[in-house]
Amino acid sequence: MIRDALDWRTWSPKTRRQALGLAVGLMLPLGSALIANALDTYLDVRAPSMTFLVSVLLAAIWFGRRIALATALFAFFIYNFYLTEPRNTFGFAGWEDVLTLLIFVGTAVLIGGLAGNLHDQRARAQTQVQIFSGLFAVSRDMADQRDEEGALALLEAGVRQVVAPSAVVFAVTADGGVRGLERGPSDMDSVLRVFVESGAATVDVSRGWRLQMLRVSGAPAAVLAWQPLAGAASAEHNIAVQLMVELAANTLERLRYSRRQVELDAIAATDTLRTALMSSMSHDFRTPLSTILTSASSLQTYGDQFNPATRADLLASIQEEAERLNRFIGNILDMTRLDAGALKPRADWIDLLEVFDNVKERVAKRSPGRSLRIVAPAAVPAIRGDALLLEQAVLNVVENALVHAPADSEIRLGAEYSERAVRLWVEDDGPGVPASERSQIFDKFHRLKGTQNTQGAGLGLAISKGFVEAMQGGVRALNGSDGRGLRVEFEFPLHAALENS
Amino acid sequence: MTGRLLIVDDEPQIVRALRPGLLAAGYEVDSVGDGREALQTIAAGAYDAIIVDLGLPDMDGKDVIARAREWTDTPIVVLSARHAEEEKIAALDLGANDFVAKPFGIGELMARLRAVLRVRGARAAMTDKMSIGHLDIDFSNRRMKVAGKEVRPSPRELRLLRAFTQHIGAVLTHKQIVAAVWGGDEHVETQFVRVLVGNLRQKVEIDPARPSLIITEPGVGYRFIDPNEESAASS
Repeated sequence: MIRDALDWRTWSPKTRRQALGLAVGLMLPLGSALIANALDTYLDVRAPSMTFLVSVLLAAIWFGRRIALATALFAFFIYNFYLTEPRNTFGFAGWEDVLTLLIFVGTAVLIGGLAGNLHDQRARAQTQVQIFSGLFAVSRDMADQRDEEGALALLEAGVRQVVAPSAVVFAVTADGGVRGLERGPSDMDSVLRVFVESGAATVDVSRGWRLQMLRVSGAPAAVLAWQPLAGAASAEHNIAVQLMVELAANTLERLRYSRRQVELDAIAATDTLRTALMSSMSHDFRTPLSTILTSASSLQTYGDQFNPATRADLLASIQEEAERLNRFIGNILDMTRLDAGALKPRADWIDLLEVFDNVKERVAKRSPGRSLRIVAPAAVPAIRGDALLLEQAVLNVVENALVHAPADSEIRLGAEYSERAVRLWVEDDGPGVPASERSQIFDKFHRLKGTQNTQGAGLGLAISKGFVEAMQGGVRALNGSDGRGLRVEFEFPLHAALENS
Repeated sequence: MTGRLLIVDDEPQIVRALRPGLLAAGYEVDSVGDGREALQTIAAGAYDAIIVDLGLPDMDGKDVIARAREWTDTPIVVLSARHAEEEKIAALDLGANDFVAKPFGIGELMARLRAVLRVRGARAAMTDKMSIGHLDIDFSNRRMKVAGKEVRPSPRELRLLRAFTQHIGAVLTHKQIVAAVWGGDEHVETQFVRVLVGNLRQKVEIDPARPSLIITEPGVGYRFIDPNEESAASS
């Protein structure tokens, strides 16, 4: 026990400091004696009481009043012993000694008291600095929070670190209940519920806990429960907790606002899409329908006045426009399937050359007189996917080229491969697409700005992209190989194809 | 009735479908594919009527109408989508004479063309007395007979009737009716137009609930038709 008590490592910081003060308080007068002696011997200066006063002063400033008093007494004895006549003996020399002792003690009391106040103030300032730097850190981290749970966890950690080790945050759920951030229901549940329902801002409950409400847009969002530390700096702690709760509330408000904004943006995007779809329907369906209706009614009214060539032409236009309508409907259905995620591509081995031949055949049937050249090595590897979807994807790109490139120009359809990927491309000699707009040509209902061409719903390329991506491929648009026209590439990674197999 | 027509439409298939019928009806037909060319062609050639598709690649069809109206009063018939009321009204207020909603049959277009061409002739030869279907009107004496029975129109109703009969077969927008009846400067609620048309219908229609003369063009205005003419056109 005694050995334990003597082991300084078991002492509290305060006791350690007292012991240190006592030791220093003994050393200081000894030092003063040496200095006074040296001054006397070498410089013939006799100011012993001054040097001893300095030691009392230092003790008072460093360790406060009590150590200073001890130092003062000790200093008096040494002073008396070494420096006053008769030397090296204790002797009462009269009123001068009494005065010296009184001055030492008075200085110790006075300076020690002042130093004590200074000490307290410094401790308080340190607490404030600690609180403010803690608040600063919390507010900086709050700004980075992306979800509500994180913001509340940060509040909890912030209060624990800056103010009080006992702090817990509970989120208020939509039904007015509360739950801890990590734990499930807690033993405070009923108390918290009552508190939430009471609408109070703060309340003290049992065992020194204080509950603090966090409101977002007026509605309870969370409750902070914390145990204020007794004593020091409680006013500052209260303010710090208030500020942190405010910070968390503002963060929650910001998060809720931005989430709403995202929702509104999504609604606006849906609206834009719907408007685009409506205008596309109105144009792309009415034009063929008008042609069909006009041709049919003309044939009905004036048929017998028309020569056979005119009649054949009107009948042909009825058939073509009906086919065009059918394609539009097909496109819209494809797009709907893609949007709904209902597309389940088959995973067969696809012979690309066969796909190219089919596309060429369909183009020849639909646009006789247009030239489509196939540029592909015979050994192009097969890829894994859905041949029908790929054929439609390629055909849509080719049709886009047919629409935009001059009627007498050539459209090239090709394939190339490396160990890692197979690349399909379609190239035309049309006006091309400015680099700034190239990434958008695969967007739904996209038409080039200022375009002369209003054919098509703007769905073809979007469908191509959707089909290719459904088969783990990628699409991109580039300049034509000789700097003019448009080149659209599909790339299918070969390793993916092997893994799929 | 024949004449020279200009079709302003960027859809070649529409022109291809329209041309034979128009030719068979005795019109000469030219066509252009965009607004700029249209304005040049209108300025250069003497056309009796112009058919304008509002959706043009280089400029808004409404702008073509507004620009053309700066120097010519050649009748203009607009081709527009059925549900684009705003657009129709705007085109009509800019000076288009009538519209046909897509998709349309050739008969509908022929009727509109006949109407706008006749309006032009009617304005040149304005008559005091006229007979339309079951209706006999004597404008100078402010008298009219409905199926032989004398009816007294109010001055406003008479002014409205006058505006209608000058545009038989062609649509009149609310704004045009206000201009004709109340004078252009006055601010008049659409509701007043409805009431006035309703009153006139009570007097001139055999069955006001199922009008045969004054037809409502929903959202746009009214059309006064000649029942004999219209039944011939829709056949």
